[in-house]
Amino acid sequence: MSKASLEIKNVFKGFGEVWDREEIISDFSLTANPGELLVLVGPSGCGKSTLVNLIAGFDQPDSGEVLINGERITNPGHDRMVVFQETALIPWQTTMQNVTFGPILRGENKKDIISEAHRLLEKVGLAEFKEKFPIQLSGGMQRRAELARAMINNPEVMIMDEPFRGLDAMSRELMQEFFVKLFEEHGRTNIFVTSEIDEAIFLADRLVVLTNRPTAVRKVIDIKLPRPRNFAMLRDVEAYEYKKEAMELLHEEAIKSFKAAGDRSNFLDAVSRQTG
Amino acid sequence: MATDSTLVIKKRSKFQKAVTSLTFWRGVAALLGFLIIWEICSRMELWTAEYQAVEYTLVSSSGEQNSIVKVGDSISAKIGDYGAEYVITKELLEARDNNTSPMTIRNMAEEFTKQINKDFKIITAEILYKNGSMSMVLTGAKPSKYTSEMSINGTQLQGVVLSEAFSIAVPWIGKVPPPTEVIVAWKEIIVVPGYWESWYLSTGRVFAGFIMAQIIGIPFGLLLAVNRYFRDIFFPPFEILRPIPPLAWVPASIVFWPTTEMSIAFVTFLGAFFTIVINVLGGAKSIDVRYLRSAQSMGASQWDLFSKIILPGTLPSIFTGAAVGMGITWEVVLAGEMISGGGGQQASGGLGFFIWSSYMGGTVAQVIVGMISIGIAGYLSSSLIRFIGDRSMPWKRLF
Repeated sequence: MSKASLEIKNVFKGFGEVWDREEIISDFSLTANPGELLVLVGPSGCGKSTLVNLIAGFDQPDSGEVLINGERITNPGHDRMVVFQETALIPWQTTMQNVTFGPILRGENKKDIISEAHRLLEKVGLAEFKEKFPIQLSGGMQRRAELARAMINNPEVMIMDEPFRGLDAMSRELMQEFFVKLFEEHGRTNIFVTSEIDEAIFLADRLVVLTNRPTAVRKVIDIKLPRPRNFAMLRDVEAYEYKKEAMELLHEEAIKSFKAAGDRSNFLDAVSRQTG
Repeated sequence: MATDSTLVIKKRSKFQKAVTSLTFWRGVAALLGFLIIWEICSRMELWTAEYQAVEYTLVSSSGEQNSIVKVGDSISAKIGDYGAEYVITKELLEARDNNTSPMTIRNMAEEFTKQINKDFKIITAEILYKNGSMSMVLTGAKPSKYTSEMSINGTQLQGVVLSEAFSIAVPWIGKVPPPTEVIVAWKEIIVVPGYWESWYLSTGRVFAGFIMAQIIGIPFGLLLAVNRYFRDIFFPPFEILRPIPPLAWVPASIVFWPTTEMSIAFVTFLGAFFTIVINVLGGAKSIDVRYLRSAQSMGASQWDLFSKIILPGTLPSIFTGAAVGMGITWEVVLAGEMISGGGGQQASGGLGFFIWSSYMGGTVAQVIVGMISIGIAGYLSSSLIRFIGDRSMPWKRLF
């Protein structure tokens, strides 16, 4: 099991033409240490998914660089696996085919792949569902299948982009527990993007609070809860303090975005009054 | 396998399941109900009456027009006990002589109608002036049991009965032959080899055009979806040609292609082609980018992306396009055959021509036989597409 470090250095990213450019990420720097679970929280629409795309290599930064083990990322690769917001399991492949998709594409030994896939599916509790299509699985099962699919590629960094969004509260908690156990076993470097504070504190080694758009790091909070984690820890004073701090920061950022929208509407209001 | 299990689930065939299911019988009942209603409606007479329209003509025996009627002559009409009288005015005569002002004549007719219609609501009296003779026609439904008479200055005129017996059927469907007649017509035509030749010809044309459209349309649509340069070059002309209805191509293709057969096939091809391309293009473009991205990050090459993600992801749209395209092909083939004449013997030349020639021959029951034949042919062909679609997309038929 290789553990990689991930470095994001002074990254800028924007969209649109020069005259109508919207800066999404501005001077973003962050380092994830090997074997660390780094959780990013930010107000909604702050550019978290854009950041994920940059780390995964689906997109290139305008300036700055993203380094994995000191090497610059230029395209997608199986050293970084992304688990997407809603399931990205391929609908026309069975669970087994989905899980073995990557290694088989890369022409690895088929027998090894199959036995590894069996092992992983057993681990995520989907051994009986390996011949089912994604549509036949429940939301939680789909996420677990996706975790298995990510893990079989043996990535150096796992990138989770709000992976448990859309699950009901019960499955969500189960998945969080499952995921934290998995992480504590492997200690794989992990970037976990979420908008749920409780989830963030429960999982994180370090909690990165992002600013409103354009995204930058507002504050990094060390979460010193002991591992292995359990939900009871969230009721500790310590966890409460973390939550309070993060909530305050997020609230400020949310107000900013609200204000930005408010200013724009004031402006429009003024213009319409002038012309009308 | 557990052999001591007491629960034995009998596997039933698809056919058995279909026949025993309530859905099946509901369908059968609905169809039968429809046929029965059709039968009743097309045979039913809403209203029948014995009716006569009688024409009385005033003709000058001497040939002198002016002597027919004079100002002050009184014309009276009588139906049963009801009657009306009209005195010829100067204006009416002038109108008759000039043959220019039918208004006055109409006024007179209206007067009669008004008076007679007090009790016979559907009688109209019409006074015609034509070629020196004046005639009065009582039209509408004068019950036959009432006598009618018409006189001028007390002299009775000779009446001619124009028509008798009159009934009103259910609108529209009353003109359509009932199912029993259709079945009789079908029985007659089913032994004619030409009928089956029509089936063969139309099906052949449909499938020729349809398969060509698939062979060219699917790769074309996929290329439009995946290659930006290809799309920039070929999409605009495609979009200009697409709104032209296939039938608008018929004259041009008859001129262009050397044989009728080829021009029909070409028009059929066009009918399916545009639908297929648009569906394939839309399907391929709507594939979720997450599938492509996750495949990419797992190391998929361009070819892998195409063959493992884009192609299977487009399959549902391909089959939707095929189903819609199949419908259009049938439409187009029939219209093509009607226009071009199909080129065959009796009852031959394709189902479209079969319908057209039946219509020209005045056998409406045969027209309906042709229509139902097309319905069946269309149903069979789209069932075939559904069957293939279900089998090529196992992930789609799970629920």
